[in-house]
Amino acid sequence: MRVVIATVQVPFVHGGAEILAEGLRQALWAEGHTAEIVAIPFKWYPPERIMDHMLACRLLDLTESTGVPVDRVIGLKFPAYFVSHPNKVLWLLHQHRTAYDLWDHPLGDLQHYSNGPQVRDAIRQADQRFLPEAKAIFTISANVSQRLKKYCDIDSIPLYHPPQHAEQFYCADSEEYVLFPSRITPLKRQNLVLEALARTRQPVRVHFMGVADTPLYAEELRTLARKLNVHDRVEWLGHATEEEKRRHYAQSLGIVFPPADEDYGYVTLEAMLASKPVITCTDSGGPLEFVRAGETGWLAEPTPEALAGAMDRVWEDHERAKRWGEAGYALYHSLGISWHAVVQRLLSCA
Amino acid sequence: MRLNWFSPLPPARSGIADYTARILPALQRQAEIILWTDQDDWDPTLEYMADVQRYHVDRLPWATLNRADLSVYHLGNNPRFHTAIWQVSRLQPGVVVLHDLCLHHFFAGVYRDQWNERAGYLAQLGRYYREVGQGDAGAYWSGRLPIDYMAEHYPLTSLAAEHALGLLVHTQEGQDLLQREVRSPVVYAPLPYPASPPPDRQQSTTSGAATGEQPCRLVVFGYLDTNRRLDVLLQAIAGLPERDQFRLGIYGELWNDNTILPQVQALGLQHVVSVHGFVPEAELDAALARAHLAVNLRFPTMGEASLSQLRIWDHALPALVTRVGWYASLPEDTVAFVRPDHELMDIQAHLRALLADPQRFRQMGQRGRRLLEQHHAPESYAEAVVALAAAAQRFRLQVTAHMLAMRVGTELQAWTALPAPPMVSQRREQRPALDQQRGDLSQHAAALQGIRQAVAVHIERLRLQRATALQGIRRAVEEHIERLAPPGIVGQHGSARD
Repeated sequence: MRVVIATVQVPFVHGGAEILAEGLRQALWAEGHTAEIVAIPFKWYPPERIMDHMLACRLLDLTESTGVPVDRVIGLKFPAYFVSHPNKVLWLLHQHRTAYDLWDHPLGDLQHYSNGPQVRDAIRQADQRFLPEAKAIFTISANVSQRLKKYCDIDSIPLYHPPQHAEQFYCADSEEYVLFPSRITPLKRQNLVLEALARTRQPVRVHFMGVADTPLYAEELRTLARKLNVHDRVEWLGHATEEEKRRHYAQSLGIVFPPADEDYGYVTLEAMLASKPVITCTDSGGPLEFVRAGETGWLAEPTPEALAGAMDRVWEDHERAKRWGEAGYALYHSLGISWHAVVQRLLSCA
Repeated sequence: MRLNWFSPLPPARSGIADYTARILPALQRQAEIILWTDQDDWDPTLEYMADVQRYHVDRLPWATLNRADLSVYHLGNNPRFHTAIWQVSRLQPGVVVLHDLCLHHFFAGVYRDQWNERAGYLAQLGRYYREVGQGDAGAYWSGRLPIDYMAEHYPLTSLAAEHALGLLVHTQEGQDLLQREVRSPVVYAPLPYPASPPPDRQQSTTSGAATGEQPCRLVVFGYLDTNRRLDVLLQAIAGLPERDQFRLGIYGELWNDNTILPQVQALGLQHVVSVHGFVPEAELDAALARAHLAVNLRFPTMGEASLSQLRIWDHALPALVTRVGWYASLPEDTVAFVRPDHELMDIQAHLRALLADPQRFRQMGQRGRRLLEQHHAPESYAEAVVALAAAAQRFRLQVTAHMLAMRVGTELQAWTALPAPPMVSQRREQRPALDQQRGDLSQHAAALQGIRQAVAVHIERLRLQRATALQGIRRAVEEHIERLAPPGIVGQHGSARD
């Protein structure tokens, strides 16, 4: 099959969505298909720009390229999934969340604009109208499926996939740090971990690995760390190569990952592949589909005190951390997560 | 549904503030209302009924505002109370409640008195009324035209209605006008007023009007601008031989103390007229309860429905109203009409009639009270507001699509280097002028029809005259022939000449 993966790209931002698209493209090629990523540039502010992008996607013609038909379009992200194609399936990373679950949320941006409600309603209307055009709707997690059902009353099937280079993760003797591997952005709640760090009984150290969406936010976190007097127990690793990333995972005591209602959370699966326990929060969304409290990790209330308690526990009992990490590894492999399964599902529905 | 409610609030001296306070309980039964005000203070009892939020136009808390489903903006003619509301309505469209149809006093107050923005004022008049309007705007700005002239010829209703997602008006006339002008939903709902329990408000059977006791108490109240015709009322009373049988109480804010008070003196009405200014509500209610007749004249009207009139009816009080605008639509047996071109004569006639037949006026007031109960219930009004808000939410999607289409059209115009076809908004701007022409043509057509009818009548009259005349001539000729005919010859009509 000739397959186009339709997604969006925010220039200079590279995260899980880009990794997923590339992983899918490689998986399709590995299964003998021809695949191409079509990434439409996306800017979501001011809000009226969103409308422009929605219309632009709707006007795109991906039915064929150089005279050869495109057999299937797989839509991944808003508003790229509005592309019209007779053989389209969706594998939804998420909808435009600031029009839905983040509308009335401190981290939502659309609500702060005078035309916010207007654009929100247009997004919702378009989703209601055009999502059902797809032959089938899959999502990357049960969390995303639940949101789609709640806000749009549209049914979908969660379809898990492996993180990038899943087979290359390994476990090594742990060093004295907890790893927080993620893009540095408010939704991931690095600030919550800093607040927790100020409350730990143990001399917990945290390594933050990832690049900030904006330099301003990075500076805010550094300032916060100094203000909380935890700056000497924190390391900002910044960007890491894939090899460096796997090494940091391998050598960590455990992984702390407390995002706000995460869609999926590669971090959780990467931790499991590295045989490391995971500390996450009860409102973290995607990670909750994989972390088994008391078996493979800790579920803490999203407060600095609760998170501090969980970090203390991973710090003070290395043996338990090791056992729970191994349990996580076994659990991952019991779930049958593979690109082969993903490709089969995405291409089999007619 | 959750609605932001932008309105003046008590103790602001605004009928719209009173209106909001009166209907708030009924509104809260239909939706969650958040009151928004730019006033420094408000009646604290409002906070028992609704959340009150203070705002500044330059620092609008959009996240808080956007928690509501829609905003409702109240516009009236006092720029002191409505400028900020209008500004917010332009930033975030919502439902607009037009308490007056003619809002030129408001916009003149905003552009000239508040902002001193001549260019903006002229531009708005030019947008809606072309060169003629713009020219007159300049003349008004420099003092060569009065505000009343501008209000009569350039109501600027469309400027107030611009961008609204829905419009609510209190007169049928308003709905008819706006439905021709705008695409958004327009709803007419009678101005609401919660009727008080009947025993407290009925005219006392021992009132002076019923028993014929003197003096006969008249009352005028509210925001007494020149259109309240107070000067004409004073002249009318002064011109009556029975003047000493009346007592006139004036309550509220006079547009100019320096005009009315000297007039009272000059007319020798010091013992007839008492000026009370603004009084507590209970005191005004007591004055209305004691009164025999309210005088609620308006000329010119700004297209408003009168909250004062509803309050008068709540007291089952008869009232003089000018036969114009909304007032002219009132049932004949619920008010006493004053013709705008015969004010003095009509006022005096009604006052004399009141002395002669107070019972008739008392019954008039009672019919007004029943009309209030049947047609001005706040519950019905609140339902209409919520229904309109829902319709406005649906219309908002159309507006969004339209705006996107406008941007696409603008972009494509650059590509093609062709002049853009008239956009819908330009067409809409042309509508007032076209409607004016249509109105002129309608008048001409009506005049021609009248002439045609008159000519037809005249032709018929001439035809009858001709027929009668011919008949007469024929008879005369026949008689003459008969006189000339030899004896024994039977005439045409079978009669023999003997």
